[in-house]
Amino acid sequence: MKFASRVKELKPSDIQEMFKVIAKPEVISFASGVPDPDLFPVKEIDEITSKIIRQNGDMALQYNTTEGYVPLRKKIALRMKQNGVESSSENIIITSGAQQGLELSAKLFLNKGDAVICESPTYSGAINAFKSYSPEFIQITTDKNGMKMDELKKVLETRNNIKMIYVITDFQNPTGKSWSVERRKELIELSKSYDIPIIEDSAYEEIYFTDNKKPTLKSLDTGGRVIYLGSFSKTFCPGLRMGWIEVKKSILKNYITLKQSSDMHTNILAQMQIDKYLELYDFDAHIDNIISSYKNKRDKMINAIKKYFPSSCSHTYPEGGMFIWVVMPDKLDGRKVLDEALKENVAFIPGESFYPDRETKNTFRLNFSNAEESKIEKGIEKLAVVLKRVIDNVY
Amino acid sequence: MDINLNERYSHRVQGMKKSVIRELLKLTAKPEIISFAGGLPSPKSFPVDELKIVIDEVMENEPEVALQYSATEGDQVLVEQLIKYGNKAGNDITEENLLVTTSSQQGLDLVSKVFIDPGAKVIVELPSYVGGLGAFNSYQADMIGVPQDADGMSAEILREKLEELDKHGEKPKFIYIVPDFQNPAGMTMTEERREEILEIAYEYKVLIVEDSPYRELRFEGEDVPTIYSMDDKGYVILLGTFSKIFAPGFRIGWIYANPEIRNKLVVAKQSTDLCSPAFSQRIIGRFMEKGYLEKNIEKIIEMYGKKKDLIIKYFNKYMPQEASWTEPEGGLFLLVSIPEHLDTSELFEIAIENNVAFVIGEAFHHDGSGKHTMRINFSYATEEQLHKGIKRLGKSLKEFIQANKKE
Ligand SMILES: Cc1ncc(COP(=O)(O)O)c(C=O)c1O
Ligand SMILES: Cc1ncc(COP(=O)(O)O)c(C=O)c1O
Repeated sequence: MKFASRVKELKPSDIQEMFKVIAKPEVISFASGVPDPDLFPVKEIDEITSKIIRQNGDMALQYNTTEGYVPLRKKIALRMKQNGVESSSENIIITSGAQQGLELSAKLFLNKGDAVICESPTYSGAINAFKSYSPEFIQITTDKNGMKMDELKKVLETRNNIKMIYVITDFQNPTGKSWSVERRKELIELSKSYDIPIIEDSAYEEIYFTDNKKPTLKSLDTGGRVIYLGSFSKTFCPGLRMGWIEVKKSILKNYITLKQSSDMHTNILAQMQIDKYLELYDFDAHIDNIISSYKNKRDKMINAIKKYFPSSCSHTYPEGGMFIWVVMPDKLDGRKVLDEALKENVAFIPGESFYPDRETKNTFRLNFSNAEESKIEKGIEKLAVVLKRVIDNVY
Repeated sequence: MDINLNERYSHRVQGMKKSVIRELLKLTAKPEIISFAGGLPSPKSFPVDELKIVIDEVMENEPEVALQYSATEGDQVLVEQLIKYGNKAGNDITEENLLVTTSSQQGLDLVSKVFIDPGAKVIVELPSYVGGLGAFNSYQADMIGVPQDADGMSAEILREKLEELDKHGEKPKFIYIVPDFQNPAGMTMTEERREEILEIAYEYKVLIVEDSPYRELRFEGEDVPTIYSMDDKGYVILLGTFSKIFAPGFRIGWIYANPEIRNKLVVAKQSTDLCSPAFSQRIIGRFMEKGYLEKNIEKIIEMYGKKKDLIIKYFNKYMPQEASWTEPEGGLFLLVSIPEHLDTSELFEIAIENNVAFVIGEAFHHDGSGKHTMRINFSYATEEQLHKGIKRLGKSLKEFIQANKKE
């Protein structure tokens, strides 16, 4: 039996593997990247679902079109318009999560050996989706304002096999960083000069803790170069697996063809559930709720880190999203530190899997959205003890 | 200037065609048309009342699981139910063999992703399921067709093709078969033929992908075991789905495979959509637990069996003698053949004028053959529509044959 050559590249996600270890109730886990289930709009979904099944069951249970439920696509387009994007339902295809948006984008653009530019580090699920199509990864360093433009420019100037630039401009997974407006504009300019499409992954865009949301790349783009991936996983719930792609029509039709052979269409009941929710309830108020809960948890975690962590470890200060990123002294390996941490019943995700080459080891990701608020300080304190111990041992 | 992408797309996309069926279905959307073109289950087959009960219970008792990400392998409750279900049907499976999918279409995509490099050979039936051909094509497979006879895929021709490839040192990645009430032909592969094909697969060391969405829907005749259940060497990958026995809108299916293959499929799925919707999975799991699925299948069998009898009756009554058709013992489809020199895409235009629609057979042949055939779906139309529609189809066909005689 011979698998396709891409299979060599495919490794089980560390994160999924980790879940098996940390399922024990005594573990304080900052590992998972999932939203807080206490914030799911359960009552509303229950009501909506009964209504849909009663009034429109024939449609909700039947096959539907690949591009998705028109009323929902219209509502999404309207929300995007409110965020400054010239959008209409015809620019939108519903996907089975933003993850499928990543998969289809890779399938659409990447031949073996083509290059994809990404931030360093970047979302492990994107790395895996792209790896299925055997590209070369070019990682660009980020600072507190986003990707470093001089480095990017040098790459764009010298390489001719670049097919796309993948970025998460808001509250990135894993670092929690958000790009400055200036950088966003610079990226758009560069993509124009070199005529390269950008995949903008906006999974966390709406979970912002400051007063103002920054403009999306999509809203700054005038040449149709930005392919925008949206998700309801973090603002509504992941269990419906709902996302979308907003892109110019001529590209959209290729996504439709690809999606058709991938899963035909996305769960139509779920599409109708979200559509009804957007119709009947105040989605923004719901998101505000999520924001205030996560912001609170972020504050708790940051305060504890400041209080307990050794000064040789640095960390990000996210203005949204679900993650904080920690950089340890060079010689430390996140995986080994995790082994020690698990002995103390505290968990996180080692940073290695967020680099396509897995070369950087001295980092890890902390999640605050799904942590129990009352245990955050305790968990960070325990973790700090472990960190101090391993640092003392190595240095 | 706007972006120009045409040369930027991957090779696989440049080779992909728009689905013929999709294009045709657009023409059949007019309300006055009676369409036998789609492959839709009857909405009457949806278990709405039971579903309401289950959804209420799940939302009451376990919403935090149903609305969260699930494990890639599948939701625990559904996995347990599927193992029971599989074993009851004679397939010896454990958790190690099972993966929940976002429907069988995803099953086809994942199998392709895991096995097909550009140019890899895949054996398909003539005719074959169009979505299977689409999935293989999207990974740039090189397809080789093997025709069917009355017992299913021809074992003789399969052997010839494999022998020929073997001479060039080539081995296809797998043999793709829809053995039960096939889409589009409605035919079922006999038990002897299954054994033969499996033996050939062993001999040439080629995997089999057994895609069986209609298997549960047998109206008459004897049950035939799955090829998966006959295989004790781990050669067969089976794809199943809830689309035809529960509701396609949920997009949930499953794969059985040997653990090594299954683990690769899990990883491929992880990067494809992380997991299937936990909400749909948990609901189907609880639905099965209550024994509702079996009842629903009984109901559908009765409903479609009746429709099949009716459509055959109307064929006998209205179709000209030049036409012949398969008589399926289950499923949703049958295949009509007209004289070989005629092309059903021309008939299609006359049929649309007469307000009736079908799918041209060419769509199901990777090599563009089968032009004198057409697929008829009998699950979706009401009994009255079956009557009127077949009458219109018979009239269209008579007109078409007449017109071609004069030339
Ligand atoms: C950056 C990023 N993109 C995409 C996804 C996938 O999200 P979805 O649930 O919409 O598939 C995630 C999920 O964690 C993510 O962090
Ligand atoms: C043979 C065959 N395989 C797979 C499918 C896909 O079914 P689903 O993706 O709804 O499970 C179909 C649907 O018509 C089919 O006929």
